[in-house]
Amino acid sequence: MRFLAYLQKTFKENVREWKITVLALVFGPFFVYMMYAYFGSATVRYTLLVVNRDRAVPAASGRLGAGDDLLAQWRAAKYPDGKAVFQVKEIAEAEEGIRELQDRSADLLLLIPADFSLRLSECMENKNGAVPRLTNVGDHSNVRFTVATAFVDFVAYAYISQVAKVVMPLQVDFQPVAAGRDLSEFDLYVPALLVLAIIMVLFTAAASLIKEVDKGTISRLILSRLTAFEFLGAIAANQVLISTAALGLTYLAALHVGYRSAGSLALFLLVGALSSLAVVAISLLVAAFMRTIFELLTVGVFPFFVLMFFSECMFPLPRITLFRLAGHAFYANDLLPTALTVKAFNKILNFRAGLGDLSYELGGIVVLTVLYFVLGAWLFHRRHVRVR
Amino acid sequence: MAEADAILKVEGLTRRYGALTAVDGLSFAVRRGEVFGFLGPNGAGKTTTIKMMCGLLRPHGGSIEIAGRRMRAGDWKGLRCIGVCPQDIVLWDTMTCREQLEFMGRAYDLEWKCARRRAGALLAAFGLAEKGGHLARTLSGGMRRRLNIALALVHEPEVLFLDEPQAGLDPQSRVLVREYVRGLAGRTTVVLTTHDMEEAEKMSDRVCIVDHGRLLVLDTVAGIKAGLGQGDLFEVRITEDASGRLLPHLAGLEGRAGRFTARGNTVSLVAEDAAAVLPLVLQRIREQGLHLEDVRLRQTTLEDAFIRLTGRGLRE
Repeated sequence: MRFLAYLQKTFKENVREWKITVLALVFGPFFVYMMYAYFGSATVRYTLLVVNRDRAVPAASGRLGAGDDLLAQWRAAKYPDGKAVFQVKEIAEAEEGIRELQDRSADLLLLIPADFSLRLSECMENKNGAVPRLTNVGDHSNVRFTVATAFVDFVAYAYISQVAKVVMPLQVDFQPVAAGRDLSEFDLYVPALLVLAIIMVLFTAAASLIKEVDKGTISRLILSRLTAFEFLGAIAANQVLISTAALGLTYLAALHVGYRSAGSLALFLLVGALSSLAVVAISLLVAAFMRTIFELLTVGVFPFFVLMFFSECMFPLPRITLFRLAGHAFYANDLLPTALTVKAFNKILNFRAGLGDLSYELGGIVVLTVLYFVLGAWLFHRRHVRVR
Repeated sequence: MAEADAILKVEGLTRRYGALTAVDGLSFAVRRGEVFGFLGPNGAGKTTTIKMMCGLLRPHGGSIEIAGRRMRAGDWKGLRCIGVCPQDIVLWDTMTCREQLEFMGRAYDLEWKCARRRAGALLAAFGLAEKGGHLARTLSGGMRRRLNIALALVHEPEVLFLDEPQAGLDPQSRVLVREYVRGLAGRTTVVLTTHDMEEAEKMSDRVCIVDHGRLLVLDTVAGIKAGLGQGDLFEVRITEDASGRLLPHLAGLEGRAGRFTARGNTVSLVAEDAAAVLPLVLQRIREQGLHLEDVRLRQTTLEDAFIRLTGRGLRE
């Protein structure tokens, strides 16, 4: 009865303070559309700048223009979905390319020397001759440079081994790890974007708690028969509802732009609901240290960003191993339930994982939720509810 | 007062904030069904005492007994026999007046229908019937204050604590609140703090005045006023310093009229025959070549007693 009364009250308040609720609901979908706009539905296209000074040379089969051939090979390189890997742009001078690399409008500059075909031709005739050289220029701190270089080299080696009729003593096959399909870069972002929708509940849940302190209404609740369990339970139930709605909307947005999940929707929702509860528990911790909504919207941004970045919602981070147990490594960011949720969502949605495959992630989320809930409730009670 | 009549007993109540003792061994008892005025200047310890009595603050010493039950920390939780109207307006801004009242009723385990009925009755009693469906944030200051009081009454408490209930109310609302509180007398015990001496005088059966956390006086309003002396009060203001130029020349009148007091340019006297003494005082003023500025003759008030007991020095 009292639980329902408070649930009804907090739900109405969330609906009437619609701005923050709407923000929580549209935050995830907004980022899905933004990321889709940037990364598209296919994998990334790398921009190559090529200074081709190569001069064709006579060869047994006619003329050998290896520089032009390589350019054609790079232009023809395709992903499995048929889209081009490279956008190839020929330029006259290296300096022009370096400027573009510096402002990151290109990923890689390739210099093909004037004697490229000549050296290749000599190598083909005399296996001990000097090998042709290609120069890759780029920003080594730019991940796109590293990836582009790998692709460029792969295409170049394939071309050279074909032209020079050299049989490579190694064959590398590529096999997608996803459930029978190739994943685009956008597909890899989707689990993190879904978790972003859950993290936004940090604000709505903490606001529901802090508002009672800020307005002094908590004193009315303290004196009434409403128990701490009913109070926190009603807020948690309401926030899980909002979070699940936000998660659903974000998922629909991902489907709308072409994302296709491989796994179980029910399992995804179960993990989402558990994770929402975990974020509510963290919001209790946050609310324990704040007294006003203003503090939440300023200081509260810090825990929000901690959750967002260290859950790898934005970009991958290096792993810091805390300890190993039974052969399993425990990483620092595993202390954040949302980091485990990103992993779980990735496994479910992209790799069709079942309940049995998620024991570590689910176990971690449950343990952390209980831990943070107990700690948060204790701190909140101590700082805002306890009679001093 | 017979101990058996008391619904609320406070004995040796003490509360400190660091080096400051806000409430210092306070003892009193409140009778069942009376309106009990709890008065004092700013910082006297009124709100601290109220908070301890309603369980929102832990005493550092002493005891509190409500309806025969000696209270300990945590005992107040869900105690339906008390209702609290805090000094600050404490409302849920995005809930309607009716929703707030119904919610508080349900938080005290009233049946939904009963909570609804109580909400309707309180809205009507506090002149908010037409605003039942309006969000609290859309109400005027006076309406918010009235709703603040109504929220303390939903569960029909036996003891109602009202901390400055009339602050910021317009005259019409003051009358409404005063009449409602007076209407509770006999059925509900009301402990009332206020700075408004006129309201306290009109509403309270008995008044307790505290200062520096200590009890100064506890009596009926008439009893406290009697402490000033019997009769009316007159004040004579001159343009010169009253204590140096006039007071020494009034010595001969004291035997008949009581004791004169002087403060700044004003001499005052409480006496049953104040009207008879007044011409004699005016004659002395003329004889001394002093200049009369103002003369007032009125009945003594609770404020006179309050100022007499707590002094004129400004507080926090």
